[in-house]
Amino acid sequence: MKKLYGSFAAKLIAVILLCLLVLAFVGSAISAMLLYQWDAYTDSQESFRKFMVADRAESIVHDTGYIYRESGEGYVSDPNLRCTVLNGAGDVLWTNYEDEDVIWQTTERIPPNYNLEYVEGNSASYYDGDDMPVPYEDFEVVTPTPAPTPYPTSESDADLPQPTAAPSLTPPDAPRWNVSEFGSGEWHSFHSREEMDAWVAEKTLTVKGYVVKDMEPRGDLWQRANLASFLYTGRFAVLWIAGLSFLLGVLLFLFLLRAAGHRKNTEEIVPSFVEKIPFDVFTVLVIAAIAVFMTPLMGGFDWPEILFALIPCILLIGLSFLLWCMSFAVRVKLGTLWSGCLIVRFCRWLWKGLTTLVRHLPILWKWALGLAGAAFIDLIFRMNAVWSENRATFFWFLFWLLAAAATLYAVLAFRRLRLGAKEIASGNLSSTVEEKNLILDFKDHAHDLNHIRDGLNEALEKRLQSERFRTELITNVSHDIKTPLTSIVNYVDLLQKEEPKTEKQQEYLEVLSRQSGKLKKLIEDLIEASKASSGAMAVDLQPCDLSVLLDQTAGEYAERLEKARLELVLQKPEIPVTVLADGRHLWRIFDNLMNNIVKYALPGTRVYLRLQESGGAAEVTFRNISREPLTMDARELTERFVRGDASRHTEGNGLGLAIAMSLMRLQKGEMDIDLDGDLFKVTLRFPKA
Amino acid sequence: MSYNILICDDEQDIVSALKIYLEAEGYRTFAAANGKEALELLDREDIHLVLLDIMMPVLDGVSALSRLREFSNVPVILLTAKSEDTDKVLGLNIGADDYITKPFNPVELLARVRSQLRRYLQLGGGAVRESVLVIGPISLDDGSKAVTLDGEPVNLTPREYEILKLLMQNPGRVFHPRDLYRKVWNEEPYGAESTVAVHIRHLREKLEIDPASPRYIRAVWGQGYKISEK
Repeated sequence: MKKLYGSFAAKLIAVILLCLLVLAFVGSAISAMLLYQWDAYTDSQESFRKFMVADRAESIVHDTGYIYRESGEGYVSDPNLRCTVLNGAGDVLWTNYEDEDVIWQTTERIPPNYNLEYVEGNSASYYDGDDMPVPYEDFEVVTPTPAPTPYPTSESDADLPQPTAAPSLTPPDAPRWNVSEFGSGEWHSFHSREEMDAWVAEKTLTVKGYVVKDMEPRGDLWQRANLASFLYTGRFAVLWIAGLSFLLGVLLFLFLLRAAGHRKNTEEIVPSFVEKIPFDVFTVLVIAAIAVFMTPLMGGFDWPEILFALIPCILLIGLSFLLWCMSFAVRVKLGTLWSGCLIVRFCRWLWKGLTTLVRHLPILWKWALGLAGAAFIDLIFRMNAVWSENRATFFWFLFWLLAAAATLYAVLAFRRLRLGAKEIASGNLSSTVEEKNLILDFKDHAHDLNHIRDGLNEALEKRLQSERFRTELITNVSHDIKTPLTSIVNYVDLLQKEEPKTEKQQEYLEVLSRQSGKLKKLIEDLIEASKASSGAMAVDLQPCDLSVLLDQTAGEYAERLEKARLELVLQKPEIPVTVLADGRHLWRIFDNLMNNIVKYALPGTRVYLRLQESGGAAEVTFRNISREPLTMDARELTERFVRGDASRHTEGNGLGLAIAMSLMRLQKGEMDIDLDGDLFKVTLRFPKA
Repeated sequence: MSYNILICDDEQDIVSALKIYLEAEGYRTFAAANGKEALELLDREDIHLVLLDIMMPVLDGVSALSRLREFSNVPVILLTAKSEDTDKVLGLNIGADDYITKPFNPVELLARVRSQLRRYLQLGGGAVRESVLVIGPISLDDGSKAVTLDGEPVNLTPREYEILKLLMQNPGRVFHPRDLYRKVWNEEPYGAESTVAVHIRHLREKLEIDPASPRYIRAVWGQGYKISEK
């Protein structure tokens, strides 16, 4: 079956077969309809034959009657018809009927051919009886207008018998009928209808016609009778043919629809040149073609010429229709039915153009156009109000309803944009401004907002990634540095144990030892600093009593402070001051700050460590007098690798303050550095737990 | 008797340095360049202590340690370049007895080796009297008022002894400096809490190998002090 779809030959055969079937169907259907009309399905064969013959036979009998009336000679044009002509009195004037068996007989009346005039008073009506029976009823009509000239004559009537020849001596009050047999020129006058009718009846011929039973095989009647027999026997066959041809035709038609567009050796639907024509244009063309092919059918039905026009016309109409259907099927299969329409394309183009125009129109223009349109509509309503109060009110109401809907939409759209922008502004970068149901500039705006959010997301992601990368890099590099450093430390230590040594060797080894120790500390601080500043450090916030921490710090540093000849003064409230912080980080901060103090404070001075609560915050202040003059600003001090003394001669690497500051930030606290002359002051501020 | 120490590190220079130090102390040493070799050596030789690097090719220290613990309870000291607390905790949790971070001080290393060997070979299995409190290498005999570290007697002042006793009687519990002061001094501190911190510091210096990063006597910053193993 699949193969058949692609085969051109199969389709061609199908089309030809379909043509034949259509013809068969049309022919048989028309025949069946006629047969039904002629009662072939209800009558017996005999009466059907009679029916078929009667029509023709009657007309021949009439012909015989007229011929006899005109010429006085008997003539019957069909050999199977016998006639007898009788006059008004019932005398046989002529016959060729010899008492044969007949299957059908008829009696026809042939009235005389006469002129007739009806006169009443001064008016007269004139009738030309011609060769038709006179419709007596018409004579009752009286012409009311007076006719001064009762017998008008004209040149065209010259060859007719002149009614003026009729006698006109009757009294004017009595109606009168004047009758003249055509061609005789003799007038008869009657004063009553009955008299006249009797005269007409006397002149009327009666013709009796008989169709003989044993027919000679020639002549019109014989052909008719023969055809009747043929049709009668085939009256059910015709039905079968109609039904079968219809069924087969439908099947073939469906096959053609199914096969339309299929080609050999490919699964795809292949459009032919027909499908290049836009569908609506194609449809119009097919309708035009069908209309053209139908015109011969619209003319008179001249039998049998019509057959020669009918068959090709029906075939052409059918083929046009088939072509349209197949093309329709192909288009549906290709899905190009609507898109292939010229009108659809045009509408789309128009719509696209309009929307592009509207899209690219600046928003102010849109506003102006919208307002102008609304004003125009409003104006029309106002004018309408003059002549139709009710309708104007209704439209006024409708107009405001529409206006309310439009503004409500604008407000809702703006609200959505507003909320979306707020979400993004508040840092919720996973929120999306819904673009659905928004139009025009609102949609563009929503799109832009989403774009901004994507950009922010990307930037944030990149920054986090680079921070992580940096931390990882520092950690890895530091790790790689530590391994060789271990060897350096160890071998320096081993060298120091080797004896004997010169004094210089001893001195150099001490430098190596001291510097490798510094390097070790530096690397550890570096890792710490990078982790703290990038936030890659775990923070475990717990309630911490700063008061206890101060005591612990004082205890830890008691001996070192003493060694540096510094006096620590603790100032703190009696009650616990609890904050949320990570104890280890907190210690690291205190440790770093105290370390700095021990290193850089002027010996012999006091160091103040004060804890107090102010507002909702706990504050720890470290104050000391610097040994060296402080030549830089506070900001620079916290930058990494910057120490209080620009010369960098003393110990320490300057990372301490930077680490402390980063760690404070990690715990949501703040760290301030104040320089006031030689007074060095660090303030740690914690939000209260 | 001499002890067999297995040194496992992929850095040949470090292994050599460690050999010099350890052999100078009278230990016999074996060297392995990765975890796999270390496990093979452990199988062949009678090893009393392992120094194990973490970052190594073929088989890293952590994996080697977890396999080693399936068949041996020989003391293991991790050598690590990672100084993060999480790494240390991980190492101790999978069965290391101690750790030391690179770059390490040779003296500290030797002290830890000594400490581990003593506890493993000399004190192991000895019956413990009831009056004796033990945390890691530290033991406190309340009967004789004697404190020993790896079996060596340690001299403590009466206050230090009282503080240590209180902490060791409640291992893991965090004592507020004020409470410690009240219990040890039997009076209200009135601003003298930092005295406690000074005493704790002294205790650490006497009992810890590296007082700056104590293993047992610990400060819980902002809360107080506690004693705990690992």
